[in-house]
Amino acid sequence: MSRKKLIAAYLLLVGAPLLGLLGILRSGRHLSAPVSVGGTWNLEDDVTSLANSGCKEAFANISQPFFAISQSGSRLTFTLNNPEQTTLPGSIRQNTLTVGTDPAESAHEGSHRCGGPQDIHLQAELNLQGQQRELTGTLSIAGCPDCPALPFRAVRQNPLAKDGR
Amino acid sequence: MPNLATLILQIGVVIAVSRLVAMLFQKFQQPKVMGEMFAGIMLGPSLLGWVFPHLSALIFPASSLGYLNALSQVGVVIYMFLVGVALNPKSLREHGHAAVLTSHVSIIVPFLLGAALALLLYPRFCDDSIGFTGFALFMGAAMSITAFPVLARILSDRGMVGTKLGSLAIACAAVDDVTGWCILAYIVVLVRAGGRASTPLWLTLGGLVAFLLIMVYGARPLLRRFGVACREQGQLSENALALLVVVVLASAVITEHLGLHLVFGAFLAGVIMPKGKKFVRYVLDRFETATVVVLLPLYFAFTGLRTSVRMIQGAQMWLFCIIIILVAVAGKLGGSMVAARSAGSGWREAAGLGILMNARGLMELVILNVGLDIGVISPSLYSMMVVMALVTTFMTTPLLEWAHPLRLMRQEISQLGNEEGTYEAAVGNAAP
Repeated sequence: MSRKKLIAAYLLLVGAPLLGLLGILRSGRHLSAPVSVGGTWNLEDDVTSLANSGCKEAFANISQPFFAISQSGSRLTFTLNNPEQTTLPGSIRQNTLTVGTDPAESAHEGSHRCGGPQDIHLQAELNLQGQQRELTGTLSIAGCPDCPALPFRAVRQNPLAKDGR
Repeated sequence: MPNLATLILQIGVVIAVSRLVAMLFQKFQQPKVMGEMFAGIMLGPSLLGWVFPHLSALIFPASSLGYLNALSQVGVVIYMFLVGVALNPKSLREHGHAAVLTSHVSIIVPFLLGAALALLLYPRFCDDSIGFTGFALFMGAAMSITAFPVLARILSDRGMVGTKLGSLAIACAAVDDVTGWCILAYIVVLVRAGGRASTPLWLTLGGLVAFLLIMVYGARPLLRRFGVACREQGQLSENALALLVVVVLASAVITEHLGLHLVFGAFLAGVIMPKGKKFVRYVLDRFETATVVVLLPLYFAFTGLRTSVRMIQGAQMWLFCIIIILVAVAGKLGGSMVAARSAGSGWREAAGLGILMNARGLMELVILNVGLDIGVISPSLYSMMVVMALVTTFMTTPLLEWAHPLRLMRQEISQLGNEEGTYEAAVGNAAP
């Protein structure tokens, strides 16, 4: 291969893709991703008070950090810090986080038995002010008329625990 | 206090399953590393945890995984050192400008396609804690890596090491590896500087430059004595071997403390080691067996425990997974093939090179684990990328047989004469 041909090939096959890469990096700056909620979260309220509420079965044996969130874009996997490491699916839309079965949907299904941690429903707003990320919302048990929605506030402890470990 | 019985049970189960699956894969002409990678996935939530959740919780309780991780990290540190030791700078210089062109194109094309794919994946699988630039560069690096040891192993198994294609592939893979690790180091610095770093950026950059200078101009001349001792006496003393291990571990710890990752220090320590055939063979003989048979399967198992194919939920996510695989193959196989063709190779040889370069193997898993650790990729994207690594590694041998049948290779080898026993063949024999 002659030197001229080599230089031309190098410019075409290496130089052009490099320029393309710079273009991609430039255009991608305008993209936005869902807000980060992955990591471990501590409940600011007394955890034992939850276990003493009307929904003992659901909140028993959960200790701090109360839950961990594994995030992939807007999809969330919510893991309670109980011995069973109960996991629930969730999602985030803008700053609103929803986890577990919607109590309203569950009520329509005619279930009146108060379930365990797998029936926990969480609805919360993310507060981005301040140094730590905070969630403020309610915890309830899907399909359980005796369990009122319990207000809670949680603070993120460790944003790096993305895989829930 | 660690539960030692659980840890020992885990090690036993992992080694037994990896050996069995590796043997099964070898029956289908697959490199054994492919079977070991697959065994790791089988032991995780994708299969064992799904089909037998209680058994999985008994063998791999969440509280015990820290110890398994620690052992597997030791394995990958030693392995990266061996990859660095096996890297022969001569192979980078011997192949002239055409090889330089081919290797650079085989990096930049998949890198470009990986970054372009990031435009699609970033809003769907990332969060705002990672900037687009870091994510796109990571995707590019993950797409452009080649499993140098797997490639060497396949070439060695097929007796292709001495062929033109074999030596070109070795040279290109070596350039790819060095470039890939440099880019990944830059990405780690970039991502950690983005807010999560425990080490300030100036300390990382300044420390890294100082460390590189010390290793290249301070440690390397001293380490040459090991090469001389090995050449003259045929072996190293136990004290010298211990010192060598200390150098590797110290280098790994320093890069970790500088805000990079253990693997960079281990790789660098390997790169600066003497490159004499006797020394390289001696070091590989001393460390390879324990690393490959015991420690690396633990790394595959730990990777498998973090990978859940079930995270790839629904048709849309599987579609993204297929797109990732197609982009990976188009970039690496297609890019390398076009580059080799433009550099004067025939179609068959160019296709062979593209197929070989497309094998990602363990190197991809190391990169993906670094990405997951620093939070640049999400768990579901990690799972998709692991599937891509498995598929691209799996397809190498059958595709190579299709493009470069053994009967044709034998003809070429008989023309060249027997060149077995070369440096690269030695490298490929035991490493996965």
